[in-house]
Amino acid sequence: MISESDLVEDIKKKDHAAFKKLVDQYQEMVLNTCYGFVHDVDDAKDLTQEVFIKIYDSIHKFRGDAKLSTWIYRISVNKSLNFIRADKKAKTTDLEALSHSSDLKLRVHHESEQEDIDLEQEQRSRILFKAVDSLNENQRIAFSLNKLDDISYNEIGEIMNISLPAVESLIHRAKLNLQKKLIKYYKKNLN
Amino acid sequence: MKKQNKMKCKEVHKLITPFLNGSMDVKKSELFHSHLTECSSCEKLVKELSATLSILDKQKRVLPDPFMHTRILQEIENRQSTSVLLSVMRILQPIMVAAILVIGIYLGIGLGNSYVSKGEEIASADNRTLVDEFLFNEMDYEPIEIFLIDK
Repeated sequence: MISESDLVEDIKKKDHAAFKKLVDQYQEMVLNTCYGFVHDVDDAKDLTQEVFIKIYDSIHKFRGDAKLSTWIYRISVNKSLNFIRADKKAKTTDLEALSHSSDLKLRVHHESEQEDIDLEQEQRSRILFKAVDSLNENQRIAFSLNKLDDISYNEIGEIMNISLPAVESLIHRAKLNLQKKLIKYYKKNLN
Repeated sequence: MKKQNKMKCKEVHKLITPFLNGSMDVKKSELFHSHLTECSSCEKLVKELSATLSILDKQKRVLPDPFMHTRILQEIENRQSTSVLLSVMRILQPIMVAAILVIGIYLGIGLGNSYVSKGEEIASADNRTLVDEFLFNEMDYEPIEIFLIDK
């Protein structure tokens, strides 16, 4: 099995076989990181492609101070956030504004019970993701990374370049703020 | 006494967060649950919140695309071709601008020279200089005085 440093050296020499190994090894990680931010599979795939192109073009800048996975996570987070900022101008992100939209009113269909359940789940997902999207940027990054199975608080700290207590604080505040936003939304829209 | 042991809706709303986080003490938890059995509004609120937040735990894992590597390499090649074309354009552009300037200047000089040559032909035919003929001689416009000059 090839070591991380050897893999990096081969990619620096533009070895396509080595680059393919990198893609195979990290694609799922990048894809799910981006998906955690953009909540859309097609956008996540496009972003994944952009992340790996960036890696290919910038591999000469990787000095080996941090783990390769940490560096890749950073690129994934930055690409996702840039995408969201560019997309934000076109879409409504305010949960309050959305509460007036008929799209989010829980509707009941009489065609099938499963359709009702699926529709309710879909609407709840939209409400939840809008609430997550409205968090402060650092809280959002820490919270989204925390949702990924294979990442520790320590690694989140390395990715965000902050201390472990700072990560814990961000995640705790993100959860509290998320609950507050949802409580406020449901108090207003359920009755 | 019984009233003091019952929670009001406002207090329940404040305790939703510790309830969801499982950080409520036993006594408060009992009062909280007791209120939910009596208040359908608060029960519905807590139920919706729990259902929405539970989506975070069930978030799907996106599976990798087996053709991702091929797509990436194709895109890299496309961008490199575009980049080469742009580099060539960056070099060619100033050269083309300079060439257009040189051609323009050459044409201008050529046109000017042909104008001067025509003047010299006319002057040599009448043994008069170009200066006499075109710059200071206005007799073409006043022909009646020509005979006075010739004399």
